[in-house]
Amino acid sequence: MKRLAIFNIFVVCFIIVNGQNENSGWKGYVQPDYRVNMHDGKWLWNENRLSLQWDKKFEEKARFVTDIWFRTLGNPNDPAWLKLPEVREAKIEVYDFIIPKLDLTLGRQRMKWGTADKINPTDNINPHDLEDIWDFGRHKPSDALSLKYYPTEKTKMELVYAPFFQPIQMPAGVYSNLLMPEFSFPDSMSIRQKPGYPPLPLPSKVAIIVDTLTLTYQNPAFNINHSAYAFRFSQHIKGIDISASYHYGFDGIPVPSHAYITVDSMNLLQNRTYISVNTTLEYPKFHRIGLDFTTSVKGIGLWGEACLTIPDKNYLLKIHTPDLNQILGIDLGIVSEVPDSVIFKKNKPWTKFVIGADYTFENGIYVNMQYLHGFLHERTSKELNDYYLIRMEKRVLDEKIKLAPVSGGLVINDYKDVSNNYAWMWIPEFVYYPNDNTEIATGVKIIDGKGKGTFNSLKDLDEVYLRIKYSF
Amino acid sequence: MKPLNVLIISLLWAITSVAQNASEVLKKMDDAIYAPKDQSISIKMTVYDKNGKTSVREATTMQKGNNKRIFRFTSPASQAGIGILSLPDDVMYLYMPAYEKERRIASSAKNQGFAGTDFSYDDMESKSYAEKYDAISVKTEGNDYVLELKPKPTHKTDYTKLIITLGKDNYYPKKVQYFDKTNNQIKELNNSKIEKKGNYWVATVFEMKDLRKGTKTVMEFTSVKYDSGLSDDEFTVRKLTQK
Repeated sequence: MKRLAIFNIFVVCFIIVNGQNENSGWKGYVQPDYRVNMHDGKWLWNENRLSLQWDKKFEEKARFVTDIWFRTLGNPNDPAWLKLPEVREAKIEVYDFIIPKLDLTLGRQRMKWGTADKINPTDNINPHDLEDIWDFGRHKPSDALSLKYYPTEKTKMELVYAPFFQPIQMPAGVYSNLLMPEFSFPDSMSIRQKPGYPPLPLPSKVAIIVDTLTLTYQNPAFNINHSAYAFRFSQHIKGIDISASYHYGFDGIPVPSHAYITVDSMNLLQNRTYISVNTTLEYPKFHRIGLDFTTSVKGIGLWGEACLTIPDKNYLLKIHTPDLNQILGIDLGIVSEVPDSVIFKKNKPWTKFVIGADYTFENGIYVNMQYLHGFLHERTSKELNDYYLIRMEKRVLDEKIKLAPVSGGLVINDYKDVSNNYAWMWIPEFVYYPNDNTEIATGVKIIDGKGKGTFNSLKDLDEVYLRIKYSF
Repeated sequence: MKPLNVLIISLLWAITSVAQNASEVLKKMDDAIYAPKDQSISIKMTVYDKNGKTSVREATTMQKGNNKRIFRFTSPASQAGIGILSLPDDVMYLYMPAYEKERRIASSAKNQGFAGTDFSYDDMESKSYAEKYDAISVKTEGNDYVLELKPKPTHKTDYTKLIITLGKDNYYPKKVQYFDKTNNQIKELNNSKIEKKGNYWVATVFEMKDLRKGTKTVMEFTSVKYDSGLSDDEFTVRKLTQK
């Protein structure tokens, strides 16, 4: 805490000193964000954010950009309420680096790929930042080196090297379990006897009940072999912007790789065994091939983006069973087995994609529609759900008010039984701009549905929110 | 030749020659507006709401010829850094610092207000009038020409007619009246402080009134630089995202 205070004082002094300099480019915003559960009045979210950005361009040769967040989040009585200052961006851009039209960016940065609106299946270099699950498209910054080369006015080539692995930021607070992958452990263990032992009347399978589950995260070693690489080629052809990309690196969501079972109690006669499982989680590595386009046809904005994900190897969950003979204290030649579970197969890639369109009508109503196959955390073809999203908005009263009465989406988890596997979200919003630098947004988020889908678990968390943003 | 035929031919000739004159005037007006090879301009925009309350926006813009323009807000803080790149063939990109990447703008958005002002994206576009409109007629009123334009079938716009008043001496527009489908005038642009700077005629104050809303925006050029030899590289997505 003392170090945090010293850092804050340092930053404030730095701002004051540099604020005197006309050439310095301090700016930023303050954003309080409050959400309350509509059903029981409990606070769901309390975030107060100060974003301080400093931007300095050195003629046309280089630019330095930094963005630091100072925040409080959650319950003020919780010691974790005051967050450490977070360097969201600290990078230097060097233009015409070595050769003309080659730009180098070095440092903590956000590399946004993809042309779709907010939900970009090809935007994979920076790990997802899902702390606030309603802030779609937010990613953690990555320490990286990126090169952009513009051989012609209509062509761009990008190369990224991100040396250090970072896991995704999982949702915080009341949303913390929302995107946790369901850990489906086998419900039985097969039992057999080795030949040569006196036969026992053993069941072929014993039901297992998981008492406790311990997760151990195994981060990739902090070395150069575990860096990520990415390449992108973009071209503007006949009114269409198209891109092709490739990314090789770790995925920020881990998968179970080993499960070590210890037996807490066992009753072979009742066919029931209580166990504890210590599971090791590893981060899978994927090849990702992306394609995207955007264009405008008869006034309609159109975009599409797809990402093919290929695991770099087969990912299996190996289950290590205990030696039951040792537990029983006598060697009866009993062998217990649980088959390995397949998590990802190298030859079973999957494709996430999004297609969307937007249009502004003559009366100023803006409509944005998207169809998304596969949400951020969904992996393997079986898991990919369909999301139909829509937003209609209009500015009124000299653009001082923005109304978005139709905003939300429909999620279909299983087309064979839609009535039991769906979710819908209605997120109408009212935004007031009392002056140029202030934005006051309020609205509700109402969710309902049936089945096991991710968003269904939010249906008890319908909320009313108020968010104020003041830019300076 | 029958009298009726003579009448029809005479009418056709008259209509054609009027249209031809109107087209010539339109061409000369475009030539006057887009005479500089390139321009670098600092802009102050004052937006007046219907109660007379004001808010100010500042921006810089660079233009090359009549089909490349890059526009960037420098204030207020909430809009500083927002940039718009207009390229030939109706290609427009928007860069928002908070969004951190460029985004194509669908051409349907071009008829909407530009960043809360009374100018639309279409009004701010660098395209010549002749590319978007056909000259229908021209008449003389004192020292001015009054030119009527109608949008070309290929040009999607909310305006069905433009009436432009321009000086006979310099062909520079003084006033533009915009009409909607019901032939009601919906907007009016008044250009003032028209003077010759170097080789070019230029207005430095532009007042756009939205007659439906009772609002107006006054755009003032606070500094103008012509023919500084801007390269095509200045009008690229690369430059747009470099801020």
